[in-house]
Amino acid sequence: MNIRAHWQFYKDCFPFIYSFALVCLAFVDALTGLFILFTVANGIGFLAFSSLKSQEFYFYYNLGISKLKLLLSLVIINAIVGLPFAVIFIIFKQLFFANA
Amino acid sequence: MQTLSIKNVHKSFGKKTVLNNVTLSVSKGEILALYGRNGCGKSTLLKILFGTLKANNIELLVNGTATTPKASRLNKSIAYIPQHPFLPSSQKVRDIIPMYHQNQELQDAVFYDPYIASFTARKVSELSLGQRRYFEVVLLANSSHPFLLIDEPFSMIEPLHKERLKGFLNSIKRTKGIIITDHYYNDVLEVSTQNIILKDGLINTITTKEDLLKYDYLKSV
Repeated sequence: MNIRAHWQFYKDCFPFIYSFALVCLAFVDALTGLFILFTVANGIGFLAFSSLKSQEFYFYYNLGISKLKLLLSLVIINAIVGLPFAVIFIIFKQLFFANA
Repeated sequence: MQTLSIKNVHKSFGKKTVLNNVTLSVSKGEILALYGRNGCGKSTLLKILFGTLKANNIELLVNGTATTPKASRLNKSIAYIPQHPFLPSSQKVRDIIPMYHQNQELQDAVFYDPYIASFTARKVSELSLGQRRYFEVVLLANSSHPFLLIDEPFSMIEPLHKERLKGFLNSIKRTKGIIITDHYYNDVLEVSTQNIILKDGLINTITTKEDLLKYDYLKSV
């Protein structure tokens, strides 16, 4: 597995994923926001990449990586990267906003 | 001999037939040049071969074995260099090389290419069109794909880059089967070993520059 390439794809989708999740946080509670970050936001990141950088898919196709593999790796990497963020966020919320 | 063959490729967009039972083949050691006027289906054919566009019908043989374009893309039989930039623009050249080549020897072949060595520290977005084209071709030519499809490599690049690119294509001819399309027919003719033209969805063989007149590709030679 070409981890560097999958990581590159995640880095390119990252701004879209987190922008969407942060915007959602303004309208929903924190846990729903985290749920969105790990689920719907992946799809939004993938769609944004498909719309704005569609030509760069050829970079991955030439490596023998399909769109489906890219989407799966995006979900996995986002879960790994987002998990510490989610844990810190929940601890922070418990410590400072437990009575809110 | 490694050979890529396609038979009876048919592609229509609505009522318009772009490719009408197109048949061609390219072997390792050959550069097949594909000419044709804008909109005649050159890029469409390359995308079909690479499996990013579906044909109404296609029979694909790689080294005599029937396969599908998507399968040959996924098992890295065919590489495709589109006419528009496809490398991650935010990345530096030196960071892209290891993504394509895990093998140190192959990395070095790209890294220490006399021309590429001069801009490895730059981001792809900072490269000139000619530098980017050259880098794309060298990067993929050093990969394991036995067949390479190149869409308009000479378009809009300066003469010095063209010469460099032609020299490189001639040097890799022995190790790859290449299909190339471009409107810069003089440059393509210098590197090609076979020439064909797409007109009205059909393939015609070109042997001389005058044949390009015959198929209404040129008004004068």
